[in-house]
Amino acid sequence: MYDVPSLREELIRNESNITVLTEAVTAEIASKTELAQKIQEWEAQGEDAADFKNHLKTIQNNIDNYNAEMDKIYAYNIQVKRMIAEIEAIHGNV
Amino acid sequence: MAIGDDFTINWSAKTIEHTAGTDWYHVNALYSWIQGEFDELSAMNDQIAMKALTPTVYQWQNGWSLLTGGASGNGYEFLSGGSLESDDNDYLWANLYSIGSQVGGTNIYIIQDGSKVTQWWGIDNIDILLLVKDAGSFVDDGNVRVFGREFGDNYDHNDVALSGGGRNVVGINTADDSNNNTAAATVSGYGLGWNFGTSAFDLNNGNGPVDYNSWIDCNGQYLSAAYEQMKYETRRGATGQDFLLPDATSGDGEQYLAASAGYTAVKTAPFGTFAGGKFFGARGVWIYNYNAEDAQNFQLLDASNTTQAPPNSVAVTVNSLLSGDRVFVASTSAAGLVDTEQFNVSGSHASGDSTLYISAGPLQTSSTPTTGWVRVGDYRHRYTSWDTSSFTLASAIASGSPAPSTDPGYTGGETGFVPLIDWEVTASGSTSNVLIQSQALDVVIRVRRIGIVPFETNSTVQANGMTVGAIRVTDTIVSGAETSGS
Repeated sequence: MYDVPSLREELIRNESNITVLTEAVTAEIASKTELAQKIQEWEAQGEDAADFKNHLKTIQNNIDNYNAEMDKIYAYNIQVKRMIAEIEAIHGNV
Repeated sequence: MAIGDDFTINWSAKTIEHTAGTDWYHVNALYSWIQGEFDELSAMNDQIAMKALTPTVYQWQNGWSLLTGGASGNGYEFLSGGSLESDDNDYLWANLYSIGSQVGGTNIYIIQDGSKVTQWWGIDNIDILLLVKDAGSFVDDGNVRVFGREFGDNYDHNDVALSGGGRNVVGINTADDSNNNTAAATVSGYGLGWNFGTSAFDLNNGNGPVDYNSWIDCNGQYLSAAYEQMKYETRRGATGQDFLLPDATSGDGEQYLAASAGYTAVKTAPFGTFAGGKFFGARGVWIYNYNAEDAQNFQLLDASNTTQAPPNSVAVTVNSLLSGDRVFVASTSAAGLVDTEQFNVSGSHASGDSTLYISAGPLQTSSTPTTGWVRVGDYRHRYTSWDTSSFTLASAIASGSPAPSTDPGYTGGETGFVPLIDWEVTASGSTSNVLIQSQALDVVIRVRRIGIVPFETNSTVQANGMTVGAIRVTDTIVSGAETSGS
């Protein structure tokens, strides 16, 4: 049987992991916005924005990776909550 | 291999030892194997070695432990997927795993309390157990910094707090850097030099001297090359320079983040990025001594995080000229006349003086060429440089050529100005001068030579400079004059 206080800590830790990933996504979105603006300016001046566009693809890929991991953690947290509920159903509040 | 082939239980010493193999196992696999061993009849008189607090948090108990110096290495270095804590809570191996896309072959590295953790893990994403609590004390509060910095790629790093044990995520994303393809051995010889400390530099863009925190001597290199050495000196394994580190000490470039401890790091390239043929400096990074052709191929951020763009050097050109034509281009006043009152001479000057001092006046950066001719009344002096208080003259003040022939002998207070072009051309074609343009500048253009109708027109020096073609119309009234070059 798992330890309910530890499971509760796990939930908190996973929330913290999600916060880390959310902040990472926010940072990537900020970079994406800045980059999109730079591409616009660059192209308006007739300059080659290929480097920026490649970087934009990378950023989108990063965002997708972070979101996918967040989904996994959310799903895991649902499992952890079920474990807590099952243990408490048998043993009462721990 | 089964886990039982790699780990061995020492029942009397109450230790688990890694004794063979190189395979990695989830902590749950270790737990499950141990539970299997302890349910044997022969083990019924032993206390259980390990407990699972959650699916990812495990703890030794009843005096059991995993050896860190086993016959085949530290047992923790073959585990992943969860954390393990000692029976007495004095030691904690937290689980750190990375996600993200890295260029294949990336060796992720970890800095813990200012030191690089010796790598036992493989390439690309990691899933490891890291000792974060040692003999009852957290190592740097359980914090670590994780890097992905392979030369040739865009870098990344992130911080993680591991003091809570369990499973902790860090994102590391790298990508091929299309501006970083030169061989490391070549880049290492580019000869850039680094300095750290707050100092003011003037980009001559009209903003005056402003503070920067790190200044880089580019050793005459193109900025594309300088950028690559900046990457080289901050790559994984870079120990060749002594850089400012986040804790304000100095150390290896592979740990370098930013020019000042409080600045947000540019993760992809900590001294600045390179894109579209331009270098974009990180905050507080000043560059100098770069190839002259790159004079405008960069943009900096000063210590106050304000963008500093290089001045716009433009050419002012008059063409359709013949050798011997006298050309004069000067800024005009609001009335459209030559602006002859741009400064006042400061103090007395005599023959032999090679510096012309001026009082603070309306002399404009945007209308004063780097080199050219300065006029005080009708006297002309060629100068090789200038600042807001003086002109350095090419020849000492003297009577004689150019006219007038009398010694000027300034007493101070005389007005003067700086034409953009003020000379006789010695070859047919065009003549030009360069100035730093920051605003539209109205000018008058004159081309004179006996035998042609004096040419005069007005124009404006714009952000891309100015080019005017002289119209040379023969003066049929004047006689005996030369109208074509010889």
